[in-house]
Amino acid sequence: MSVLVYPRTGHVEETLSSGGGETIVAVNWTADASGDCVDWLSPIGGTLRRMTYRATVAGTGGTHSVYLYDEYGIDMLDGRGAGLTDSATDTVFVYRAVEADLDVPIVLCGPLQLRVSGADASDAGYMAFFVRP
Amino acid sequence: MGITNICGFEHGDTLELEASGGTAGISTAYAHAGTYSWRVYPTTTATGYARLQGISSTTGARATINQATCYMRIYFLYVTKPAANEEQIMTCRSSSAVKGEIRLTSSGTLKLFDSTAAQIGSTGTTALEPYRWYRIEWYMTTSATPSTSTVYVDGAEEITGSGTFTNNNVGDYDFGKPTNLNGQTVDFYYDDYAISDSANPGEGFIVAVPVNGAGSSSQWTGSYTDIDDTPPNDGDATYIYDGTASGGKVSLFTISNPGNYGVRGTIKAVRVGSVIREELAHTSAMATRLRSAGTNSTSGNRNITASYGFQHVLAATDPAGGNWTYDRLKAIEVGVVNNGTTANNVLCTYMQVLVEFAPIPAPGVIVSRAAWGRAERIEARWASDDGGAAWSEWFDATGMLDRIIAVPDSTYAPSANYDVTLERPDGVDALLGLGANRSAANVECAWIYRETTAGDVERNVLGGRYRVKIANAGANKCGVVAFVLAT
Repeated sequence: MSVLVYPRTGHVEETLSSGGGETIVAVNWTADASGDCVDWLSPIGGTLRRMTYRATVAGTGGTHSVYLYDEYGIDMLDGRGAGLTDSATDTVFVYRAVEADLDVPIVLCGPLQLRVSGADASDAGYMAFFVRP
Repeated sequence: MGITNICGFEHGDTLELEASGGTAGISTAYAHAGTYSWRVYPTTTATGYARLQGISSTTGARATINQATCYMRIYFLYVTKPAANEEQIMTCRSSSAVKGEIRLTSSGTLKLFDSTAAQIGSTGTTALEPYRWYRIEWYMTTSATPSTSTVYVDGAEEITGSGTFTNNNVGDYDFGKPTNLNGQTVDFYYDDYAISDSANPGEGFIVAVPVNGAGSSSQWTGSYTDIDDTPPNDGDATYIYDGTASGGKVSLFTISNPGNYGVRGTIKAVRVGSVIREELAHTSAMATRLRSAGTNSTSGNRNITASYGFQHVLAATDPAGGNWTYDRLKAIEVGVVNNGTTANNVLCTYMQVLVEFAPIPAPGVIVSRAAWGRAERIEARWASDDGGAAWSEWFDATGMLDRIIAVPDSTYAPSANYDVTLERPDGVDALLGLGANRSAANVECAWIYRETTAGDVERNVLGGRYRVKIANAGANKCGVVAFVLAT
């Protein structure tokens, strides 16, 4: 396993690790005074399988939303990061439903912009994206 | 009226500037369009600038802008920004005093200040990157009470706010670091200046087109070869002249094909300039003329001096009526008129035709590729031809096709329901028809799949040669299509 750490100014600290056929993009985020967090993650390529997230640490409850936009503004979570419960720890499987009962995986390719919205001011959280290269 | 003056620094020296000074000068290192730009590169506490004005409506000479409301555009590129704090990059002045200024910070962001050096609005949020041209537009007002000024970057509002911008009309602009604020070394480039009295000039490229033949009148002595200098002008080495006492002597000249100098798309302004002087000091009456389809647009008479100087006539629209068209521009004549009534020679050493245009990209598709791990993105930037079609060269591609993203251009938006295909040599569309009927206004993602008879999803695996084709987009439209593959 190799671990790469990308310290960032602002709101996001990102860790890439790989092993067992998967790359894990782990993100610690901190919201600003308006409850938002926007930052670019390191470019990555591969199939996004799932996202796990932990309960936020300083919020007052409620929900927050997570989006992972590519360079063209397409949400690679396909909306499945919307309305996450602040107090929950859970796993979200990520796929695109192209038709009823027909799903396709989503391929990440290039820089990604993480946007957290609707959190409480200075709230913080953690999430990990599991990518199969 | 619209655009009231343009300058692309295409004369190649300081003749068309009101003033300049410090560590600054004409450069060919970076040009937004044409050959030349203006460079300001003072170190530590040194300064440098160029001052640009407008055109006199009575004499065609360089003159104070004298507009209560002025919309200015300049393209700005930096190589070195302030390492700390901030320095000026441009100031707006009345005829004698600063009305406002824009500064560049060590973060690459912009700040707006009024005449009292109070910061107006918030610091801009766009961090300008080095070696990249940015379109800076600046709306300035004149009022005895606090009034609004706005700064735009690449067409988007960056800073706005109310401040004390004085009740004196806009007179001129200084580009560079005219005064030292924080002792910072900078290296700035400026190009393609335009001012308007009605709206932001918007996107524009400015190039110079030379004269190339005799026009419909040849009453001066000499030919076009005497005034077709490669800028800057050659002074008294070659020139045309007239010294008749009867007045009204005209020489007109045709111009080279503007397309050979990069002109295409929407023509937004044409400025004809003559570099003229008196042989001996006397009371002269010189005029410069632009003639389109038999209709003259002529500057007022100017009593010039014995030193060479510019006289201009600017037409934001075709003098013969309507907006400029390429064919009408190609056929214009430009020249000089000697309205003097004494038998003293007036000389013209150079005629310059500046054209401001907003280009339409040349038809075609440019394919670029980037890979991250086992994923590849193939990006096709396309511009359609007159038939609304575009296609790329053939290229190799291998991998499972996941999706396409279609991005219509906001300026040259394609027609609704345009079609994208990824064609194999046998004519089969690798997108399975899922690239059809794209939106003219929105970024769209189309997932590429096929439902099998078993109710499962089958992805399309590429292997071989392909080309991107665009159809039904309308003439001269643009966009981007990206293909994402798992390889």
